[in-house]
Amino acid sequence: MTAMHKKLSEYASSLCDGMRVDSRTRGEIDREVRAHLEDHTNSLKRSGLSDDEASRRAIRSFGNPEIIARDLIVVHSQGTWRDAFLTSLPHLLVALLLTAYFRQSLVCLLATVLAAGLGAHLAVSRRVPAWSFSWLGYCLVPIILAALLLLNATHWWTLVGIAYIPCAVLVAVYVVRQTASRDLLYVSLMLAPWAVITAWCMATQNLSSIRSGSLDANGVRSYGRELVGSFVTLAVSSFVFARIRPRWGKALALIIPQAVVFGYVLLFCGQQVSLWGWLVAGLAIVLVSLPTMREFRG
Amino acid sequence: MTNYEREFLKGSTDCLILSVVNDGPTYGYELIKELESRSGGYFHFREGTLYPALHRMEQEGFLEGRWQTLPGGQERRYYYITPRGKEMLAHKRAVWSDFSAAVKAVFKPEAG
Repeated sequence: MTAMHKKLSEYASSLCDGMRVDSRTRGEIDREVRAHLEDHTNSLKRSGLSDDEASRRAIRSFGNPEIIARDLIVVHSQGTWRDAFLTSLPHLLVALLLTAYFRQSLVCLLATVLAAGLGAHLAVSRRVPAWSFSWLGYCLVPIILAALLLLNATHWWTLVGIAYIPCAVLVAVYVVRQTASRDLLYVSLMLAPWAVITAWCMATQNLSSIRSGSLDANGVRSYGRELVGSFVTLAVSSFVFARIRPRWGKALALIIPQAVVFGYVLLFCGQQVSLWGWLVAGLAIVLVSLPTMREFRG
Repeated sequence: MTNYEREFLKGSTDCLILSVVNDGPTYGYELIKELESRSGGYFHFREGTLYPALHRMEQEGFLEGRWQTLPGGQERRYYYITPRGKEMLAHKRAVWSDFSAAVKAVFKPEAG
């Protein structure tokens, strides 16, 4: 690589490296910026400038990489209507799954399984696009639930627990870290269902039944409509998250539904939730909302 | 270019880009040179600012970007105008025509 190409490459990298957009979009922007700089540099060289001077001028006339990167992030942070629908789809599917459970409907169940399979296939084939983070949160549910169940394991299951639980924690930490490296807001988007699930678990179950893994179906049934409503609320907020451009708006779209669910649980199930239940539910909501706080600074 | 001219250019960027792309598909660098050449050097963009505008217009469905290989083997992202972009251009041109006619009339009122 010549000194000129190195200089152009460094500039393109400084523009694209910290850009919180899809890796595919970032790659395309990188190629486009490099192509532009090469064209301009070659044109300046043809007019008699040296390699060094031509690349320096091409870079200068391209502009401040931080400002350009910021403007490009704003443009690409708004998903299409299709992206918005796919972001909200996993929450709608959970709402549909719950409806299937409460109404014993086979059609709802089949529709959920088909749509979930289609969504997973699309997410993998599109190399983890932005909308797939709302699906990723649900993918962690079986991993973490199995770990919670193994906490109270007896006999040889204790050995399975000893081996499995650290692996499950490592997987969860790895997924959160990878998501945070892409964009902190996606961490909140991914974990949003966790805050809602925790709030409802604390409202409808007692801690000992959660620890033993024997959940009380009657507790869940008595709040069936509200549970479905919570996931529909999450779906609406995810839709808004994907479509809205300002980052503070995205942050609000993530915080508001959790506050609504927490407020609802507080108002209507307040008497039956223990202090520990409140602490756990409140902590879950705070932790899930924490990554959005950066958007309200300054 | 004064701040007033810069603000004026900012409001007209979409229309200028659509006008050039409407005459044939083009890529970023070529587009900037064409704008400079057609305006006799009056429109001199800070080059990097063009790409957020191009990407935004692509997201809005006015343009479509496609990678193409030039005869020399280099790849460039060509922008094509879409039917929606053509509609938008026609609308913006009509608005501009009415606006400039009205401004001219105010600046130089014809003798009654």
